[in-house]
Amino acid sequence: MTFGIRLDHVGFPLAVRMDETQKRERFTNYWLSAEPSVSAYVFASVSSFHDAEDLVQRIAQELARRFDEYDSNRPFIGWALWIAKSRVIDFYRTQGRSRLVFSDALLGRLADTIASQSEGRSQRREALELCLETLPSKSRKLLDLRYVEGLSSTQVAQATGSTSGSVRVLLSRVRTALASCIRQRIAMENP
Amino acid sequence: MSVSDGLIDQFLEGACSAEEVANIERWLQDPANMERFARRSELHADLRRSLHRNRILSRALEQGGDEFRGAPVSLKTFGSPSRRWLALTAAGVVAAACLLVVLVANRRGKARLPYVSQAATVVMDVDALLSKDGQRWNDVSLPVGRYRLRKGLLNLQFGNGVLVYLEAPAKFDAMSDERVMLYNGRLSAHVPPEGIGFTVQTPEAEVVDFGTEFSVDVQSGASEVHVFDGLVRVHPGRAMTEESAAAIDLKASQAVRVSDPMVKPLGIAIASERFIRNFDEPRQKYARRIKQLSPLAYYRMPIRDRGLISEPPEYSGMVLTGDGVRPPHACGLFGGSLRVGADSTGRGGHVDSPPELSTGQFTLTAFVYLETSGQSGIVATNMDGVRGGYTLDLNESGNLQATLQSQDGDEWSVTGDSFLPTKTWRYVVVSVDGERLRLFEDGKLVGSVESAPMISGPSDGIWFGTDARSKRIWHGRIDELALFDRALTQEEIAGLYRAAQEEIAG
Repeated sequence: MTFGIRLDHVGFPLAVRMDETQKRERFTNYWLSAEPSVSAYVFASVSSFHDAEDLVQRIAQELARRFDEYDSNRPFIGWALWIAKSRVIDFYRTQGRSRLVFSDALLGRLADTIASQSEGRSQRREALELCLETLPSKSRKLLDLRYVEGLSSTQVAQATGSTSGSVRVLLSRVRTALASCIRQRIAMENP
Repeated sequence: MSVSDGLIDQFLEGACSAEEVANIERWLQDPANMERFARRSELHADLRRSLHRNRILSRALEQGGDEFRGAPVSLKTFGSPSRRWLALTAAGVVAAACLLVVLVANRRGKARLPYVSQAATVVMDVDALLSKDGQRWNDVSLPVGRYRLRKGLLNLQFGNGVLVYLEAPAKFDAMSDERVMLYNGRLSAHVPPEGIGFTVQTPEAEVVDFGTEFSVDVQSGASEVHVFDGLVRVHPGRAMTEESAAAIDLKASQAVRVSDPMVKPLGIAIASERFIRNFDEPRQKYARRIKQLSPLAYYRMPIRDRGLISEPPEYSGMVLTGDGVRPPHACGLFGGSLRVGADSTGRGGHVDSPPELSTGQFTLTAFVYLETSGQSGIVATNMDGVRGGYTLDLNESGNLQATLQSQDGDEWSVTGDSFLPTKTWRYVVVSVDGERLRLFEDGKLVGSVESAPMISGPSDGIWFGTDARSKRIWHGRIDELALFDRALTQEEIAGLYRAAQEEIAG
């Protein structure tokens, strides 16, 4: 009996679906704005790319599952980082670490700092895209081996006939050059 | 204690000793250090995301066409500096899309794919401000619905590889993946064979494509259809639903205006200069020839949202903007161009740190296009009071004029011998060899005066399409501007002009 209730073409009440569609859109928008901060937080707390990415994915799933609990009067990013912090602590527990790399208090302060830096994060990401294009091919190759192939500094050293110490130093210089390029580009855009 | 970026990197890679970790924890007690650490972590996360994404795109490109169908990327986007939508949201959108399943499953207690009514995806945007139902729309996916493009340029991919370019201001409905309703604004479409049947509806007409490239301009109660390649059918009113004048077929280089569905469309001249039909900056004969002559700086004026791009990049600058409706870019002679004044938001360009000129010799080459007559304006200048050495402008008589300043502060000017027409590209070259100041138009010498060498040393900057006081705005477009610290010979200038003509002729 569907008296008084309009159904859509697959048989769901139209009002329910409208409500869910709006909710999905809202969650998508929230997540898109918070994802860079959550990623930065997790990458700061977990050293393996693969572990960090898995963790970000799990945090996102938890946020989606618990979206009804989110109080929209408060910033989404704060809620997302609060859940992220719990998942980072769980991650270290399940890894069997005897202690956290960071204390609970420090993880909290890191979350606050990352939340406070969220403004301009998308601009910094855009600038990074452009700065990457100006890198010499050798530097770009080094970054690809590290960030795309996921090789450790020792493995990169083996692949390039260098030493792990030199690779670390070179990678660090490239990152510092990129950070400087990002600052300059943003300064140029916001004189 | 201090912690270097290198040690932060080492920590983030999990390669620190227990003692180093303890030191870093202490160091992080200082909020300023925590900020630095957080910013470095962000860089690591962004590098992983960005490089990984670029690799996926790169591999897809190597493997060819099918991978792109339905994905928010085209061959044209890869390697281009402006990929903001992709850069910011691709990974997030994928994750979000996956998560929607979780949401729905949670609500109903069983997994069910969300209902998706996607019409188009954003391939690329240039400083675009898009809204849907009054809210800013940042997603790469465009569901069926009404949108307003308030600012900038947008490249959308509809079904079957149909690419659509929209210029602000525009209001449109994405009706399905093969139909768009354009209420006002400019739209250009590239329709591959598999996209035949793609339809653009306007208040006055319906345009059905048969595999082609065409543009539609809707404003002031009229719709114009311009066909650049292939064939389209234009139905005044709406096909098969209303009484209206008979449909007509348009071939390449034909254009019509439809003001009244009951009246036969009016044939008009095709306006190839009006529409932005892609965001590419082809490097063919002219650009190659310029590079062979080793310019100090070359401004190709590509359609990008990252300022005024120079080759080499250290002489890049900013695009200046103000009030107006259209973007500060337009179709150029080769790729995009800098649009200044007229109805655009463009107010010219400014380069803070231009190349230093120290030889007393100089050449400036550029293509200029005037949109409205009756106003003088600057093409390019580095002069600000007693500083700087050159100005190329349109004088009050409507002629191009070059001015040179020497070390002693003396000035020389040379003026072209003809009125600069509107809506026509002109190739203009200013050269200074230390003894004469020369002006060339379309490869020919049109004026020459004796002069001293040009002033040497740094200047406060270069302004394109405006001056240091923002007083004398150019009203039109500027493209392919190159600077040299020597006087190009007459043969070299004629060669450049020939290369341009050959490239235009295809």
